[in-house]
Amino acid sequence: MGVRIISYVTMGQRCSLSNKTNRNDVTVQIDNNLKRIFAEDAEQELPPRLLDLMQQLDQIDAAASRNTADSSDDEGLSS
Amino acid sequence: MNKEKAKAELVSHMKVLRAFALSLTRNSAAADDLVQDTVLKAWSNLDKFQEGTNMRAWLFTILRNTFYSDRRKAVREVSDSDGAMTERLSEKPSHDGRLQLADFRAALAELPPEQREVLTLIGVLQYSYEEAAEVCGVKVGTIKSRLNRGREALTVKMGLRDDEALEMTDAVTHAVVSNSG
Repeated sequence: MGVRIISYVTMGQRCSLSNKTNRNDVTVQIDNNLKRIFAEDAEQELPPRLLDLMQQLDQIDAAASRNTADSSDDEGLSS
Repeated sequence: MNKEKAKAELVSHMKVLRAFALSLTRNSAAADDLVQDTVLKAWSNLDKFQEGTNMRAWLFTILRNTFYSDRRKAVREVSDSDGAMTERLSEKPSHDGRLQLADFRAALAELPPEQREVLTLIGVLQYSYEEAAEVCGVKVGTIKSRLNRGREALTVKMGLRDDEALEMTDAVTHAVVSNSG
Protein backbone atom coordinates (compact mmCIF):
# COMPACT_ATOMS: atom_id res chain seq x y z
CA MET A 1 0.00 0.00 0.00
CA GLY A 2 2.77 2.31 1.06
CA VAL A 3 4.68 1.53 -2.08
CA ARG A 4 1.60 2.24 -4.16
CA ILE A 5 1.13 5.67 -2.60
CA ILE A 6 4.79 6.55 -3.16
CA SER A 7 4.52 5.37 -6.74
CA TYR A 8 1.34 7.45 -7.31
CA VAL A 9 2.91 10.61 -5.84
CA THR A 10 5.99 10.12 -7.96
CA MET A 11 3.91 9.89 -11.14
CA GLY A 12 1.97 13.01 -10.12
CA GLN A 13 5.19 14.84 -9.56
CA ARG A 14 6.47 13.71 -12.91
CA CYS A 15 3.31 14.90 -14.59
CA SER A 16 3.48 18.25 -12.82
CA LEU A 17 7.14 18.63 -13.69
CA SER A 18 6.43 17.76 -17.31
CA ASN A 19 3.64 20.34 -17.58
CA LYS A 20 5.83 22.96 -15.97
CA THR A 21 8.66 22.17 -18.38
CA ASN A 22 6.32 22.40 -21.36
CA ARG A 23 5.00 25.73 -20.14
CA ASN A 24 8.55 27.00 -19.72
CA ASP A 25 9.43 25.79 -23.22
CA VAL A 26 6.49 27.68 -24.68
CA THR A 27 7.42 30.81 -22.71
CA VAL A 28 10.96 30.61 -24.03
CA GLN A 29 9.67 30.17 -27.58
CA ILE A 30 7.37 33.16 -27.22
CA ASP A 31 10.10 35.36 -25.74
CA ASN A 32 12.54 34.36 -28.47
CA ASN A 33 10.05 35.32 -31.14
CA LEU A 34 9.28 38.60 -29.41
CA LYS A 35 13.03 39.30 -29.43
CA ARG A 36 13.27 38.40 -33.09
CA ILE A 37 10.46 40.78 -34.03
CA PHE A 38 11.79 43.58 -31.85
CA ALA A 39 15.28 43.10 -33.29
CA GLU A 40 13.90 43.31 -36.83
CA ASP A 41 12.14 46.56 -35.98
CA ALA A 42 15.17 47.98 -34.16
CA GLU A 43 17.39 47.20 -37.16
CA GLN A 44 15.33 49.35 -39.50
CA GLU A 45 16.89 52.60 -40.62
CA LEU A 46 15.37 55.71 -39.11
CA PRO A 47 13.08 57.59 -41.50
CA PRO A 48 14.37 60.94 -42.87
CA ARG A 49 12.07 63.03 -40.71
CA LEU A 50 13.44 61.52 -37.50
CA LEU A 51 17.00 61.96 -38.73
CA ASP A 52 16.19 65.59 -39.52
CA LEU A 53 14.68 66.01 -36.09
CA MET A 54 17.87 64.77 -34.49
CA GLN A 55 19.92 67.23 -36.51
CA GLN A 56 17.62 70.11 -35.66
CA LEU A 57 17.39 69.52 -31.92
CA ASP A 58 20.05 72.11 -31.19
CA GLN A 59 18.04 74.73 -33.03
CA ILE A 60 14.78 73.92 -31.35
CA ASP A 61 14.06 76.47 -28.71
CA ALA A 62 13.02 74.75 -25.52
CA ALA A 63 10.09 77.10 -24.97
CA ALA A 64 8.83 76.66 -28.53
CA SER A 65 9.00 72.91 -28.37
CA ARG A 66 7.30 72.99 -24.99
CA ASN A 67 4.34 74.62 -26.72
CA THR A 68 4.45 72.01 -29.47
CA ALA A 69 4.51 69.16 -27.05
CA ASP A 70 1.22 68.36 -25.41
CA SER A 71 1.60 68.87 -21.70
CA SER A 72 -2.02 68.42 -20.71
CA ASP A 73 -1.46 65.06 -19.10
CA ASP A 74 1.09 63.67 -16.73
CA GLU A 75 3.52 62.01 -19.10
CA GLY A 76 6.20 60.87 -16.74
CA LEU A 77 8.57 63.70 -17.54
CA SER A 78 10.32 63.52 -14.18
CA SER A 79 12.86 60.72 -14.15
CA MET B 1 22.53 67.67 -17.99
CA ASN B 2 24.93 68.82 -20.70
CA LYS B 3 22.92 69.23 -23.92
CA GLU B 4 25.54 67.68 -26.18
CA LYS B 5 25.82 64.65 -23.94
CA ALA B 6 22.05 64.39 -23.65
CA LYS B 7 21.63 64.61 -27.40
CA ALA B 8 24.22 61.91 -27.99
CA GLU B 9 22.47 59.61 -25.56
CA LEU B 10 19.09 60.44 -27.04
CA VAL B 11 20.32 59.59 -30.53
CA SER B 12 21.74 56.30 -29.29
CA HIS B 13 18.25 55.25 -28.08
CA MET B 14 16.35 56.29 -31.20
CA LYS B 15 16.13 52.92 -32.97
CA VAL B 16 15.07 51.04 -29.87
CA LEU B 17 12.63 53.82 -29.04
CA ARG B 18 11.11 53.45 -32.50
CA ALA B 19 10.93 49.66 -32.13
CA PHE B 20 9.09 50.16 -28.84
CA ALA B 21 6.75 52.62 -30.57
CA LEU B 22 6.11 50.03 -33.31
CA SER B 23 5.34 47.42 -30.67
CA LEU B 24 2.60 49.70 -29.36
CA THR B 25 1.17 51.16 -32.57
CA ARG B 26 1.90 48.35 -35.10
CA ASN B 27 1.96 51.14 -37.67
CA SER B 28 5.12 52.81 -38.94
CA ALA B 29 3.66 56.29 -39.55
CA ALA B 30 2.01 56.34 -36.13
CA ALA B 31 5.23 55.07 -34.57
CA ASP B 32 7.23 57.87 -36.19
CA ASP B 33 4.73 60.47 -34.95
CA LEU B 34 4.99 59.00 -31.49
CA VAL B 35 8.79 59.02 -31.48
CA GLN B 36 8.84 62.60 -32.74
CA ASP B 37 6.46 63.77 -30.00
CA THR B 38 8.47 61.85 -27.41
CA VAL B 39 11.78 63.37 -28.50
CA LEU B 40 10.34 66.89 -28.48
CA LYS B 41 8.88 66.41 -25.02
CA ALA B 42 12.07 64.89 -23.69
CA TRP B 43 14.22 67.61 -25.21
CA SER B 44 12.08 70.44 -23.86
CA ASN B 45 11.98 68.85 -20.42
CA LEU B 46 15.59 67.81 -20.19
CA ASP B 47 15.93 69.72 -16.94
CA LYS B 48 13.54 67.18 -15.38
CA PHE B 49 15.76 64.26 -16.32
CA GLN B 50 17.94 63.21 -13.44
CA GLU B 51 21.46 62.59 -14.68
CA GLY B 52 22.74 59.18 -13.76
CA THR B 53 19.30 57.58 -14.03
CA ASN B 54 18.15 55.43 -16.91
CA MET B 55 17.41 57.68 -19.90
CA ARG B 56 15.94 54.84 -21.93
CA ALA B 57 13.42 54.05 -19.21
CA TRP B 58 12.60 57.77 -18.99
CA LEU B 59 12.04 57.93 -22.77
CA PHE B 60 9.95 54.74 -22.72
CA THR B 61 7.76 56.23 -19.99
CA ILE B 62 7.20 59.44 -21.96
CA LEU B 63 6.51 57.46 -25.13
CA ARG B 64 4.00 55.04 -23.65
CA ASN B 65 2.23 57.78 -21.69
CA THR B 66 1.99 59.87 -24.87
CA PHE B 67 0.64 56.84 -26.73
CA TYR B 68 -2.12 56.18 -24.20
CA SER B 69 -2.87 59.89 -23.85
CA ASP B 70 -3.30 60.22 -27.63
CA ARG B 71 -5.34 57.04 -27.69
CA ARG B 72 -7.70 58.32 -25.04
CA LYS B 73 -8.14 61.52 -27.00
CA ALA B 74 -8.72 59.79 -30.30
CA VAL B 75 -11.01 57.19 -28.71
CA ARG B 76 -10.17 54.78 -31.42
CA GLU B 77 -7.59 52.19 -32.28
CA VAL B 78 -4.79 53.31 -34.55
CA SER B 79 -5.33 51.59 -37.85
CA ASP B 80 -2.77 50.26 -40.26
CA SER B 81 -3.39 53.17 -42.62
CA ASP B 82 -0.19 53.01 -44.62
CA GLY B 83 -0.40 49.28 -45.08
CA ALA B 84 3.21 48.84 -44.04
CA MET B 85 2.47 46.14 -41.55
CA THR B 86 0.01 44.44 -43.86
CA GLU B 87 2.57 44.47 -46.62
CA ARG B 88 5.15 42.96 -44.31
CA LEU B 89 2.69 40.30 -43.19
CA SER B 90 1.81 39.40 -46.76
CA GLU B 91 5.41 38.93 -47.83
CA LYS B 92 5.90 35.53 -49.33
CA PRO B 93 7.76 33.51 -46.73
CA SER B 94 11.10 32.15 -47.85
CA HIS B 95 10.93 29.25 -45.42
CA ASP B 96 8.85 27.89 -42.55
CA GLY B 97 10.56 30.05 -39.95
CA ARG B 98 9.63 33.16 -41.90
CA LEU B 99 6.02 32.03 -42.18
CA GLN B 100 5.85 31.29 -38.48
CA LEU B 101 7.33 34.66 -37.62
CA ALA B 102 4.78 36.43 -39.83
CA ASP B 103 2.01 34.48 -38.09
CA PHE B 104 3.48 35.36 -34.74
CA ARG B 105 3.62 39.02 -35.70
CA ALA B 106 -0.04 38.91 -36.72
CA ALA B 107 -1.00 37.19 -33.47
CA LEU B 108 0.94 39.76 -31.48
CA ALA B 109 -0.80 42.61 -33.28
CA GLU B 110 -4.15 41.26 -32.09
CA LEU B 111 -3.24 41.64 -28.42
CA PRO B 112 -4.18 44.77 -26.48
CA PRO B 113 -1.28 47.26 -26.40
CA GLU B 114 -1.15 46.97 -22.60
CA GLN B 115 -0.16 43.32 -23.00
CA ARG B 116 2.20 43.96 -25.93
CA GLU B 117 4.14 46.58 -24.00
CA VAL B 118 4.61 44.29 -20.98
CA LEU B 119 5.67 41.42 -23.24
CA THR B 120 8.22 43.76 -24.83
CA LEU B 121 9.53 45.26 -21.61
CA ILE B 122 9.92 41.92 -19.83
CA GLY B 123 10.20 39.34 -22.60
CA VAL B 124 12.50 41.36 -24.85
CA LEU B 125 14.22 44.06 -22.83
CA GLN B 126 14.53 41.93 -19.69
CA TYR B 127 13.02 44.53 -17.37
CA SER B 128 12.19 43.29 -13.89
CA TYR B 129 8.54 43.31 -12.83
CA GLU B 130 9.29 46.31 -10.63
CA GLU B 131 10.96 48.26 -13.45
CA ALA B 132 8.10 47.49 -15.84
CA ALA B 133 5.59 48.55 -13.19
CA GLU B 134 7.40 51.86 -12.81
CA VAL B 135 7.47 52.54 -16.56
CA CYS B 136 3.79 51.59 -16.94
CA GLY B 137 2.67 53.31 -13.77
CA VAL B 138 0.82 50.24 -12.47
CA LYS B 139 1.30 47.69 -9.68
CA VAL B 140 3.59 44.70 -10.01
CA GLY B 141 0.57 42.38 -9.83
CA THR B 142 -0.92 44.09 -12.87
CA ILE B 143 2.31 43.60 -14.78
CA LYS B 144 2.37 39.88 -13.94
CA SER B 145 -1.26 39.54 -14.91
CA ARG B 146 -0.78 41.30 -18.27
CA LEU B 147 2.32 39.23 -18.98
CA ASN B 148 0.55 35.95 -18.24
CA ARG B 149 -2.53 36.90 -20.23
CA GLY B 150 -0.36 38.00 -23.16
CA ARG B 151 1.62 34.78 -23.17
CA GLU B 152 -1.51 32.69 -22.81
CA ALA B 153 -3.17 34.49 -25.70
CA LEU B 154 -0.13 34.00 -27.93
CA THR B 155 0.06 30.33 -26.97
CA VAL B 156 -3.57 29.85 -27.96
CA LYS B 157 -3.38 31.96 -31.15
CA MET B 158 -0.26 30.15 -32.34
CA GLY B 159 -1.50 26.74 -31.24
CA LEU B 160 1.80 26.26 -29.47
CA ARG B 161 2.47 22.88 -27.98
CA ASP B 162 5.59 21.40 -26.50
CA ASP B 163 6.31 19.45 -29.69
CA GLU B 164 6.09 22.49 -31.95
CA ALA B 165 9.37 24.31 -31.99
CA LEU B 166 8.89 27.95 -32.88
CA GLU B 167 12.29 29.05 -31.79
CA MET B 168 13.96 31.14 -34.46
CA THR B 169 16.33 33.34 -32.54
CA ASP B 170 19.71 33.36 -34.14
CA ALA B 171 23.04 34.91 -33.23
CA VAL B 172 22.29 38.18 -35.03
CA THR B 173 19.00 38.61 -33.19
CA HIS B 174 20.64 37.87 -29.90
CA ALA B 175 23.36 40.41 -30.61
CA VAL B 176 20.87 43.15 -31.48
CA VAL B 177 18.70 42.54 -28.43
CA SER B 178 21.73 42.36 -26.16
CA ASN B 179 23.16 45.58 -27.53
CA SER B 180 19.84 47.36 -27.24
CA GLY B 181 19.65 46.69 -23.51
